[in-house]
Amino acid sequence: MAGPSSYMFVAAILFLIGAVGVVVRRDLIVILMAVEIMLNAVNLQFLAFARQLGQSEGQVFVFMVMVVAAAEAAIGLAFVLLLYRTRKTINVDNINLMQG
Amino acid sequence: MDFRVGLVAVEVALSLLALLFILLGAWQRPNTSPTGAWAVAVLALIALGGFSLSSSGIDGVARSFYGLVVSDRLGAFLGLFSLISGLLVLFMSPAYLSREGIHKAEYYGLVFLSLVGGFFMFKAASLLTLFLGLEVLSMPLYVLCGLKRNFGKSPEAGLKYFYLGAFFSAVMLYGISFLYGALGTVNLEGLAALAISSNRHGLMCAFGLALLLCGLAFKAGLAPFHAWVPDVYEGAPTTITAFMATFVKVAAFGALIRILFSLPPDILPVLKPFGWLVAVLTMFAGNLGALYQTNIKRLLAFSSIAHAGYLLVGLLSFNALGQQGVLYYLLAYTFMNVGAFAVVIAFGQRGEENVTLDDLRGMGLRHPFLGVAMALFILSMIGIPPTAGFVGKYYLFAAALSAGMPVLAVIGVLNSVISLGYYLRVLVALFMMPEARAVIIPPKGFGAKVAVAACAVLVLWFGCFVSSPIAAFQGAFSQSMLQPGTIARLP
Amino acid sequence: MYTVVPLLILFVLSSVTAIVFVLANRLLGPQAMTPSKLEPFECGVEVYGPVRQPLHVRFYLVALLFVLFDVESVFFFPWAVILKDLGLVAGVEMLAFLLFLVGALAYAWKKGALEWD
Repeated sequence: MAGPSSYMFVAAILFLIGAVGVVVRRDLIVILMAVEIMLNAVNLQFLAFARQLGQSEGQVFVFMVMVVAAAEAAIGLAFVLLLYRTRKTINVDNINLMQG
Repeated sequence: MDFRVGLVAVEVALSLLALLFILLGAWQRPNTSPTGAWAVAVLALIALGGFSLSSSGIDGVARSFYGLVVSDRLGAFLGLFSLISGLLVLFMSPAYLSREGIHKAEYYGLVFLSLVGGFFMFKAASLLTLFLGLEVLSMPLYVLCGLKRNFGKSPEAGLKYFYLGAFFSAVMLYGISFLYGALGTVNLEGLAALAISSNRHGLMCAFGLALLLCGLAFKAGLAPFHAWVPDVYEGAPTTITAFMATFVKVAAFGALIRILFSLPPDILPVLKPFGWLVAVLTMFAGNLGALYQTNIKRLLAFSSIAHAGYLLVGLLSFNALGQQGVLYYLLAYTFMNVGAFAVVIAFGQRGEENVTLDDLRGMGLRHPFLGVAMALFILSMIGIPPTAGFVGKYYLFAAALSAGMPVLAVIGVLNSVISLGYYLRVLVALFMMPEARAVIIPPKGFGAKVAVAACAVLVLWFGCFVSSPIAAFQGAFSQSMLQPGTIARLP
Repeated sequence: MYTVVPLLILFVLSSVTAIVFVLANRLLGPQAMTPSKLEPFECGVEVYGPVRQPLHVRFYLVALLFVLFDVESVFFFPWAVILKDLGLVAGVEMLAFLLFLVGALAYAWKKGALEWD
């Protein structure tokens, strides 16, 4: 049986993958997916701790995070669609109307 | 059963109205204005404001919903500030929205939903409520920022705000998960057991707390997480900019207060140097950045970063003066900022978001009412008596002095001097420059003028009659769910 | 711990074998490319147009609604499990939750998000 440390390790790696993805990738949908990976890392960590502590508080938190992640995905997709309709691109490098 | 619905009556009312407005929006006929929705929204905010004001005098702390929600004076005051900000914004909304062709009932629904989120943050007794409140607050704002769909900068502002917001809420959640693992609870009282050391527990606490504070610092627009502020404030519809600049700042600082004052006293010496650095960085980033701006919305955005820095100075002193100062300044800041943005709206035209300083030339003389009001707001932002901004700043810097942080106070005053550089440019443009060639015609909107007048009167009122609000704010902290250890330590 | 060692050996061996075979094929095999050989399919229906065509916008809209309404159901499972213990309060709470969901659905319906034309 693996202890919480191994779950923390996996969660950290997942979180880093997501964070690096947000910073490095240029496609808006991929960035959205990277944020979801970060949230899933958080979920994993919450579940591991909830299991270790033997309580349900962490699991409740995970439910909330899942719903928030879904709402975020909906808003993000809507924005990407809106942007694609007006500019025909979903590359972050082209989002540069405001500078200075 | 532990359900005292009365404690969340305001939130329930706000959410039901939000649902009503959003449904009204779907059945609204094209090319009509939802005047009825607007009237209901204004009346509801006035009624709820009265309710919050009356409950802000109640002593004691009430908790419910299995310890998720707490009702105390601090939360009541912060809620009251948010309602005031929302009400002022509602007054200037119809004229502006009709001008931009986006006057829909959904707008009011989204504003109300955002307010619900803020209220849950103020009443949070657990990191779960705090996080959910923050998300409920943020998501409608993402949409509202991108409301002007055909105006290129607006969707871009919404998109930027959304992506950065989502990223930082993930960071904040990661922090919360570490705190949960270390403390075994997400209740705010659990934070009292927090200890930073080099063992596993201590490291998890330190890491979790740092990430949590990073997430909140992003929302508050504190350096080094302030880069989004100018872009989002510039692109968003101006009414929403005013709403974000005031309400979100109140919410973020409310959450910071809740968390910082739940920490055990021995953490504070570790935390203070970081806070000190962030405050100094924020003040300089805001004031130096504003010096180079020609667009008034961006200028006000940078100035709002600087004001967040001043607020942090008061928060860091952890004494009674600082607590009163933070609340006073948040209120003063609401009036002067909403007022300034209302004037910006009045000087604008359809699609003309780039109200540059050149466009403002000579407008103060042509439209004396708006000009004088703008001058008043600017003077209050600089911190010149007899304005509310002066009183707030005085309390903040006095708190830093009495907390033994004279250097921070001096840097704050120095920054106020730097800020003269750009605030005076606005005044010079308004009153001392020849009129620009293309004359701007202010809209016929009556509501914006009401908002400007109300803000101007309140800025003067709170600059002159200080004692009763200060006395009220004094009770806000002592009558709230904050750690007795921290309170007892205060001078 | 030692139970995984045979698995590891198997994993390494199979990977090495696969890599060696693919590389050997690439290096040793004769390569005479003709246009018909470069086609994705050398038999069957002829290919026309790019494969990765963008999906129509309405798919995203449906996906968006699906994600929202699907995830809300996570709240129903724990609620259903403890409904008997909580009694009437929980029932009323869930009705309030449903009210908002139905409101959202009505909004989507009225706005034409459910049309597929």
